[in-house]
Formats: sequence, C-alpha cells, structure tokens
Amino acid sequence: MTDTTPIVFVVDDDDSVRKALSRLFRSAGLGVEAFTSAEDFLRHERPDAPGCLVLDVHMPGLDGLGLQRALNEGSGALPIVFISGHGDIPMSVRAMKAGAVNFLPKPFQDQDLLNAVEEALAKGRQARQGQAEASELRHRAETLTPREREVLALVVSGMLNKQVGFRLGVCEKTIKVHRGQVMKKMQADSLADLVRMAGKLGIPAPPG
Amino acid sequence: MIPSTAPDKVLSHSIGIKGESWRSHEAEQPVKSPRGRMEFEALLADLSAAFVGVHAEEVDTQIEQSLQRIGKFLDVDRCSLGECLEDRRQLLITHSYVKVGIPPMPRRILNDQLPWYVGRILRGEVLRFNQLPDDLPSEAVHEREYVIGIGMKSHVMVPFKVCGSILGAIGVASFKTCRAWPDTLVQRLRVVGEIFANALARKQADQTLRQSERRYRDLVETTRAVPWEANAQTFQMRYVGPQAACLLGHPLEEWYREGFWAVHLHRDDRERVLRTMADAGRLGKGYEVEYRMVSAAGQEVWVHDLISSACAERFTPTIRGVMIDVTARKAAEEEALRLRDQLARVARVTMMGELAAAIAHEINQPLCAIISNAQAAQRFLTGNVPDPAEVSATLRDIVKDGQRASQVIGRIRTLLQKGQPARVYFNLNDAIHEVVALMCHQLARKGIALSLDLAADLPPVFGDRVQFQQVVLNLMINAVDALSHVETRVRELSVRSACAEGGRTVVSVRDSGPGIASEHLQQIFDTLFTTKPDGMGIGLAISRSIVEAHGGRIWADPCAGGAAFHFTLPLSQEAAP
Repeated sequence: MTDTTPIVFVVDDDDSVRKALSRLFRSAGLGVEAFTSAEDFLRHERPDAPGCLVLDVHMPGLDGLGLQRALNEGSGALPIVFISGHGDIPMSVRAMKAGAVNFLPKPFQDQDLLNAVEEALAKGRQARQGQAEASELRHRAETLTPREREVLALVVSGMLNKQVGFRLGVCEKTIKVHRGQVMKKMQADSLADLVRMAGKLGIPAPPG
Repeated sequence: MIPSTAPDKVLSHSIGIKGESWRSHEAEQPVKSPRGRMEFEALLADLSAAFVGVHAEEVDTQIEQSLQRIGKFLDVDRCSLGECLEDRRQLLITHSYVKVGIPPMPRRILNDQLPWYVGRILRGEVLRFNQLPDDLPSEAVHEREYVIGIGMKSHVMVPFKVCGSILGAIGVASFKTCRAWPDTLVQRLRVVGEIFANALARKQADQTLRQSERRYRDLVETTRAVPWEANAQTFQMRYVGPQAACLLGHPLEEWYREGFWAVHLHRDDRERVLRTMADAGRLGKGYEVEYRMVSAAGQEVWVHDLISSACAERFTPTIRGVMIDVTARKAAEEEALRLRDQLARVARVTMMGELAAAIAHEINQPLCAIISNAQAAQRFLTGNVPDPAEVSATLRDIVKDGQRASQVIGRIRTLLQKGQPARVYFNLNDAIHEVVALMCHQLARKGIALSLDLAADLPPVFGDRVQFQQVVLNLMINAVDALSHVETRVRELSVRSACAEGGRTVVSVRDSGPGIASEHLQQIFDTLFTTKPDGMGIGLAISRSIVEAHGGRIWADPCAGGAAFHFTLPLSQEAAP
C-alpha cells in the first residue's frame, strides 16, 4: 500500500464556496479535488489514496445525506465532514448518526474546518490500515489446510491440546504439530496474538 | 207638466235658472221683452269681457261676481255653478250666489243623494222644472224629498261642455215662486257657461303649468348636484343652481362673472378640463369629467361634472350639465389606495418571511467563501513560500463575493421598502431575473427544474417595478408550494414573457403541480381565500389588485398536468390608469 498525499474531496454546488475551500486546503498543504455535484463525484474514479470528503448538505439532485448513504452502502466509504448553509439540527443529527465525522454550519472558522478534516483524514488512515491488516490475515489464513483451520478454531477457544485431540479423534502429538504449523503460517507471536488474529478474521468459537 | 229638455241638450252649455211659474208670470219674464233681451245681451258681453285677461287665481272670484250679476238680473234666489266629476259620477257645486235671506248653497257634492238628477246632468240633459215638486218624474224619489225639504219651487240646470266633454252645469233656483224657463234663456245661460268653461280651462292649464314649474324648480334647487348652463365657447355661466354657493363658498352672483369657473379650476387640471369641455360643446356628446376646483378658503374641492347636453340656444352654442361635489369620495378612494399599498407591503414582508431561510442561505454562501478565502490568504502570506499571485487572486474573489452578498441584500431591501409606489419605464426581463435569483436556491433545494422563456425584444414596461416583482414572486412561491405535493413526476416551473396584442406584455408562470379545481379558478383571487393550511389568502388578491391598478388583467388556467397563471401589463403610460 502506497502512502501518498492525502486528498480532500470537496463537493459543493456554490462556485464561490467551492473555490474558496479548495484554496484553503491548498494553503494548508493538502491535496484537493473539487466537484460541483454528488453525481459528478460518484462518476469520478478515485485514486487509491488516503482522503476524506467535505460535503455540502443541500444540493440540487443527489444531496449530501444521499451521497453519504450511497457511500455507506457501497464499499467506497470515506470519512465525511458536512458543511451546511442552513444549520438544520435534525439534519445534522441524522448525518452524525450515519457516521459523519463532523457537521459545520457556514460560515465556519478555518481552524475548525481544518481540524475536522485532520480528524477525518486520521480516521481514514486508520481505516485503511485496518483494511490492509485484515487483507493480510485473510491471505495467511488461506494457506492453512482444512485440518489446520479446525485446530486453529479450537485452540483459540481455550481448549488444551489434549482436549483438541480428543475432539478431533487425533492424538495429542499430532495436534501439537498442527498448532506449530498454524502459528508459523499465521505469523503469530503468541497464543494471545493468535486469538486476536482469529477475532479479526471473525472465526467464532466452536459449540461445546 | 212634464219637464222639457232642450233639443240641443248634449251639445250646449247649460245654465239653470229658477223662477216663477210660467202660467202667472209670463209677461214678467224679463228676457222676453226686446229691451230685456238687449240688456241680457249686454250683460253677456260684459261678462265675457270681464274674463279677458283675468289671472288664473282671480277666475273663481270673477265667476262668483258673474253669478251674482246674473242672479240679480234674472231676479232669482240662487245661481250656482257645478263641476262634473264624471269618473266619480258626481256633481260638485263650486260657486254660487244667493239672494239675501235665502239659505246659502254650500259647496257640496251631489251624487248618491240625487242619483236621477246627477245622472241626467252628467248625460248632458238640460233639466227644467217650472214647478217643483210636481214636475219631477216619479222615479226621482230622492229629488222629490230634497226639494220639498228645502222648499225649492222652480229650477233649471244647464250642463255645458268644452271640447266635447262635459265640464259642468249652471243652475238657477227660486224658492218663493214657480217660473217658466224659456229656451232663449237656456241658450243664453249656455253662452255664459261657455265663458265660464273657458275661464276654468285656462285656470286649470295655468295651474298645471305652475305646478310643473314649481316641481322642476324644486328639483333643480334642492338637489345636491349643481345644475348649470353655460356658453359652450366662453364657458360663461347663464344659469347655475343656488347650491353652487355651498360648493366653493363664493356667493352665487360671483358664478355669473366672466371666467369665474375657469379661473377657479385647479391649475393642474385646467388644461385637460377646458379641452374636454370644448370637445363636449363641439361634438355634442355627453361627457363626464372629474377635476379639482379651489374653494374660497383655498381648499381643493373635487368635482364630478356630468355634461348632459349641447345645443344652440338662440344661436349661441350652449352646454348644460350637473356638478357634484365628490371630495369625500375622493378622500375615501385615496385612503383605500394607501391602505392597499400598505397591505401590499405586508404581503411582501410575509413573502420575504417565507423566503427567510432561502435568503439567509443566499447571504451565507458568499460570507463563507469570503472568510475561507481570507483565512487561506493569511496562510499563503505566512507560509514557507509566500505566493503574492495567489493572494491577489484571493482578494479579487473576496471583493466579488462581497458584492454578491451586497446585491442579495439590496434586492431584499428593494422588495421590503416602504416608499411610495413609483411608476417608471423598466426592463421586465431584468426584473424577472432578480426574482428568479431570490428563488433559485429554494428551487434547487426542492429539486424543481426551472425554465425561462423571456422574449428578447420586449419593449420597456410602465409601472411600479417593486410591485411587479411582488406579483412574479407571489406566483413563483405559489408554484413552489404546489410542486411540493408532486412526488412521482418531474417538478417543473417555467416563467415566460412575451408581447401580446394591443400593446401589452404578458407574463406567465406555469407549474407541473396538482393544478386548480375549476370551481376555484375565479375564487382564488378573492381576499382570504386559501387552500394552504397556514396561508393568509392575501397574496393573489394583492397581485390582482396590483395588476388591475396598472390596467392589466390576471387569470389562471388549469393547463394539462398543472396550472398556469398569466398577467398582462400595459406598455405605455397612457394605457396605465
């Protein structure tokens, strides 16, 4: 994963505001890409780089909340900072509940917006990191044999080797061998590490 | 002795004379002797002459005097004149002479009491009774009773006519003796009757004329309108009603002074009024004109002048008319106009209230841009590599956005202003654009597609720009409200301006909303009619009031798939009232 300059995506139908925001972010050393409408933004191919979205709520066609919903349903979730010329409380509550980072009424102080954008970018980075991690773990899990997978699931549930052997109808020694393979392939440093990885992978405890 | 009736009974006047029985007093009948005849003729001539030149009010006295002379001449006890009231079948005794010592004849009506008698007279029969009651026929029961009761001995009654209809009858009676009444006497009495008839007819005509005159004079002098007659060229008054004194506070005689009326016209109205009066005089048409005059106290008096006729009176062109003081009405009209303008302003303010959110947003956008730009510029200046070019561009944008905010405020202030309505020539399309600018954010927010079809070659329109914008704004707000009910199809709003025939422009606002029920098409322009739950119902009423005050017309069309409102405006000052 390449770590490139974060990009702030600005979507606002008002020309003056869009221009001014672009300038502001540029003056703070951030990359900017601006769009006149939500539809325009969705059509555009996004580079694979960390970023966030600065979005006006009220726009003709697909409005801010609509775009948020579309992004949540799809895979391209991006942290969102909402800006609004109306300062509508119910709307702001909906936006926050749907996962927005912040909701700022116009006109706002530059520092407030920049802080929110910073927070959003950080969240974005975290998310990207988490995604990258999960991807790697999945990749490792795919190298396990079916038997190794079974052993992994039982071991992280807290069973001793002997119990695992009993459950699977295999002798303890064989279990120890499998366990070692699992640790090696998953690159786990300890049992605790393995348990954490299993949690990330969503491997449930077996019934028992 | 049966009563004889004169052969010419129907055609002649009749005079009744009561005298002595013919048997014993033939020789004493004065009219038989040549000398008597001459004297009677002379008396008749005298009587006739006496009525010449008699005034209507003296006729009655003259008749009484004549009756007296006849009575004395014929030596009878009573001589009277009756008027036939044919519609009521009555004989009214109007004048009489009685000899001293004889009971007077009251002014009375003979009708049901003496039906046979009155009936005969009304048929024009001469009734001669030389001897009473013997000469009465058997059917004259009441009459018999009557004559016995009062002791009448002899009587003759001669009906007379004027122009074919029975007017009256003259009767003469004797209470002491019976007499014979010869034909010659009857004839002469008939002549006297003619004289009386003529005099009475003349009196009647005179009375009718006077009554008529009095009635017209009353009407003219007591009506509140001031009648006048003037020379159509010099406007010199020939007659002006006495009410004129109250109109301006100048004494009536002043009105007859040369040029009085023209001099007292308000100077702003003078030219127009003189022109209208001149036209009225020339073309002879009925005109109505309203103008101000200046009273003795220096106050303005509004006059509504109805010019009724133009003619030539003794070769001088004349106009006549009636002036009515309408100062009170004018004041009420002006007050109503002022209130209407106030109400229009209230409606405007209310509309602006509805747009408050949109307006706040319109101003917030440039403000937001200005603040962000300024803060960005600060960073550019204090950054690692200061970028003057960027800062410069930023400052230019700040100025532009500041102007944009200012324009929005300016537009709102114009619409909210309290000032007097001012009529000017203005560009209709520019005014529409400004209204659209106010509305455009709301349109965007509600997802309404706006289309403008403004004719490029529209000449300037004459009227009050703010009020015009108010009408357009009202129609657009209504359209937006209607469209908020539309979910399934496209929300469309279109504004169109075009030339219409007759030197007018027409503006149309069309929406794709639910439309208007046909029974409401007229009502929607009425005050306080609204279908909105929180609507006041004055928007369209005010719009109509504004459009009509400009001489235009506003109406609604339930077009297919929505509604359309249209209004016309005149292009020139003359067309606008």
